[in-house]
Amino acid sequence: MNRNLYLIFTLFICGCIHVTAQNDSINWLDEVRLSDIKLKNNSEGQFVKKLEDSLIEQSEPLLTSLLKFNSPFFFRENGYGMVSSASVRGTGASQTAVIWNGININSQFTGQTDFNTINTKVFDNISLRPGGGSVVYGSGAIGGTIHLNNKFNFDGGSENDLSIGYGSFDTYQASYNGDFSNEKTSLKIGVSGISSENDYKYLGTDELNENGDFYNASLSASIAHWLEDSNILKFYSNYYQGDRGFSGTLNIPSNSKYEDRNSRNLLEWKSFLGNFTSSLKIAWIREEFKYYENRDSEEFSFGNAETTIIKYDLAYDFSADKKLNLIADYNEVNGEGSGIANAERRIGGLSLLWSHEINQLNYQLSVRQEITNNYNSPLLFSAGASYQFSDWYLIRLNSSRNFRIPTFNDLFWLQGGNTILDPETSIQAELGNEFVFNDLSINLTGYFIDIDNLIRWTPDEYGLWRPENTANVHNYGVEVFANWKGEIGGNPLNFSSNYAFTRSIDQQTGSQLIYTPKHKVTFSAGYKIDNFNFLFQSLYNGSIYTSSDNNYELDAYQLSNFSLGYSFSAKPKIGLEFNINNIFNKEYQSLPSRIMPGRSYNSTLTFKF
Amino acid sequence: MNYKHFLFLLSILLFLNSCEDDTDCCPMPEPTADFASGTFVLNEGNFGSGNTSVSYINENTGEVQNQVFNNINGFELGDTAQSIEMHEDLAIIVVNVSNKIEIVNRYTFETLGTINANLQNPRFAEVVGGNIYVSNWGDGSNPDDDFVAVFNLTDFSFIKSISVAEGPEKMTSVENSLYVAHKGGFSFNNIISVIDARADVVTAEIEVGDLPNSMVISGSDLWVLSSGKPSYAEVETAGELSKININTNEVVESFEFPESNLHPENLNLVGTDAYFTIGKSLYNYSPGGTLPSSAEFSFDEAAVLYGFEIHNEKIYIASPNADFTGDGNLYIYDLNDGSLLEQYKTGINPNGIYFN
Repeated sequence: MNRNLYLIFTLFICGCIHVTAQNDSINWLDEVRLSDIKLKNNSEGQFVKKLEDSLIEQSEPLLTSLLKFNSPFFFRENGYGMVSSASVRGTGASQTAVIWNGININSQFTGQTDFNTINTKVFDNISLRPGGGSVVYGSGAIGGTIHLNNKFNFDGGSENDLSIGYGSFDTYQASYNGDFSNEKTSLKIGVSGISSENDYKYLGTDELNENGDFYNASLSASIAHWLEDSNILKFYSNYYQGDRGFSGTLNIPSNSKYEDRNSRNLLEWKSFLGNFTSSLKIAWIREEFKYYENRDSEEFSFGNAETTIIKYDLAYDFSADKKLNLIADYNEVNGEGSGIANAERRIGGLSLLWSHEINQLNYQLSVRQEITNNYNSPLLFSAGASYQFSDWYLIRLNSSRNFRIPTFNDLFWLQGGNTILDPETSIQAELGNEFVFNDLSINLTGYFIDIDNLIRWTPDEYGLWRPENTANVHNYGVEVFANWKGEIGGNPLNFSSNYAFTRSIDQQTGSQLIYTPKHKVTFSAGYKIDNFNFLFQSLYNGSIYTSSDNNYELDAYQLSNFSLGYSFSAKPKIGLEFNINNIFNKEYQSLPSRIMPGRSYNSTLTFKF
Repeated sequence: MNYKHFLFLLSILLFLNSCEDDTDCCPMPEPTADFASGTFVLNEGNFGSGNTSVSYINENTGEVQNQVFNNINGFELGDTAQSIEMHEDLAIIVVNVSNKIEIVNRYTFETLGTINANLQNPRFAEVVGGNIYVSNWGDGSNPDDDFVAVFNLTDFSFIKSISVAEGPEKMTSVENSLYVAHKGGFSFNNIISVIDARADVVTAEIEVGDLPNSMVISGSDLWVLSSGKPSYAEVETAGELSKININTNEVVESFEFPESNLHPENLNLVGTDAYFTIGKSLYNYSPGGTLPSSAEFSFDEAAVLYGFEIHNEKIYIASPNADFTGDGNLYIYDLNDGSLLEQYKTGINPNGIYFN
């Protein structure tokens, strides 16, 4: 390994000598506009689903609401706006990584992202990449990664989007996005907020959802500025603030409250020097929570963690179709909190990424090794290829080793934390098929994941709960993303549908893991006629087991939403939209005793100028 | 495959099936909810899931009935039942997370009443005189709001609330004296408080070892077993066995365990022998003598001793499924030689065993 690295270094130096200045601004375009260029350039062998901007605009600002109707991923929710986690390809909540502009933002304490603490409206696009990705995105990228991105324009324009909305359960929302640029500088501002009393009725009972009130606000600002022709500075910042009452359940009142304060900042300096592209990133992330068991009392428990990341990425284009990246990074995290002591982590990492295009064949190879005293770090790798057989058929193949590192809670929790845990590691492979026939595109992927050293909290013989590397799980299944875009009578019509068949089998018991449905389906249809647009969305979640012996389960459910929009004028663009969620007033729950809302309404007014 | 054999096999299967159907198809006699004798297992279920339940096991017939409370009363027991106090005809079920107490007839399990006010994080109940005493943690994170609530045994009306030290847990009584063991809720405590049930006031606080977890009364002695602070405490402490004279409320003798990682629990008295457990092992102790250094035997089948009782020369262990999500087990061992006598499936996360 070391000798190979040395060889590559010398290769670089040799390469330098031959470099002649080339200004290939077309190739730079994505590098300039995106911060997470790896999502575009290093996803060979994997399918990346981009959720359209219009979908983000039309959906509620909670990431859970957006994704549950537009992805094959399953979400467990404690209630509307309450704690929510994803299960992607049958994996656990901490085996899906949420990536903000290329940076992993899963919590240091829980290892997961609460999908109801991401306000979607301040991002320009949201992409889903099922499958492994730890080489580039780090811990938790086993089931898949979810990408929240901001994008720069240098078109000299200015645009303002404003929207305000009101709906059932006293839910108010408002958002503003501004986009300003000239040739040298691009500025983006996003502000979004939602608040709700959230006191919906539990269908089939006389009870209301008590203590479920919440608000959150997110502020995002990004600026990019060309220093000269080949140097650009980019700065991204995101602040999130949310307060929630944790709602009770069917039988139990609650009086607790939870506060989140998260800030993320990223500075990037990018240089284009001939065939070299150099990128230096410095990121600073802070997460903070406070939990009040009794919201009327001053007593609370808390946690906060500060992460600093320094990452240097040097890319060399051997030719238009061969590229090598060498990435060195350093990551330092310090945490403190109630029940947590001496939580710190320092990780150094070195990655190599190779990509090569040969006519219809693209392939990529990448490896990453981390060095830390926190855990034994496995060598991570990814190998992917795609082959375009014909205009309408592409095949993808990817295999990777990924991991989920022990969290601060796992390692340093005073009542049982275990400092000798190893990371959960996975070996996985997938085979994807992409069919494109005129207006129809279908992506069909089969996968297999073997996860070892699963970290589970179980009681020891004294009844003390401790995390251990215990279980071994095999996940396999099929995922389908399908999309049809056409028209009827000259008016655009589109259908899209996702399906996931998921098996997630504990190798010791032979049982399906809890909270992973075997089937999930989504379907949506959109139609536009004159100034009207219609959108119908529905989903089906199969039944889930709630106990590891598979003796207890929650019923399957099907939900549908409908929305009707009307635009009054084109310039400035003024639109009004009316939504009905859960139109058939279905009672459903994705966690036991946590009843979700019945039929609800909301309307939104938007201005673009 | 030989089709003749196949058909034969098929006919056997059909025959067997129809046999089973015969027993299923015909109307069963109306179940008479008669729990004149037998064993109840309290299953706490999963926190927040509202799936706590009671199982009934008749060892003589091998009959097991799950969801006894829900089936008989037509409504759910609630969330995370902590304990049952058996008193005369009553079973008083303390439902911790639901903040309520369900009172049923212990022989029919039909509901007699519900107490759902003046409780916060209720743990255990004890009847003294004409009143029910219930230990409460208040907010788990607040050390100053713990109390013992007092209710009338006849009409279940609230009488008063007695403020006590942090983390009141198990209780036992002699005549009009109520002894409350304070484990310490979310934190640690090391006292037994004494409540005079005539005046309903705390008359004494007796310091014992850290985390007193079980008490037995023998003559005029109250034996208290404390487990000591666990390994995640700032300083781990060894378990301790204390003898309190109930006339003077003084500790007259105490025995400290030799190693700080020894955390005994489940003190039981059988005749003149005392028993307790450390981890999954059983120890025998003659009160007044030195502490035993070697175990009698251990309960390897159980995942955790979540509930533990000694009854009629048998040891009953309620053991949850290892990951606390599915159905648990009741293991019954012979007290004399530690052999596993019987094993029954229970509900989710069994935590206590009670006898009729």
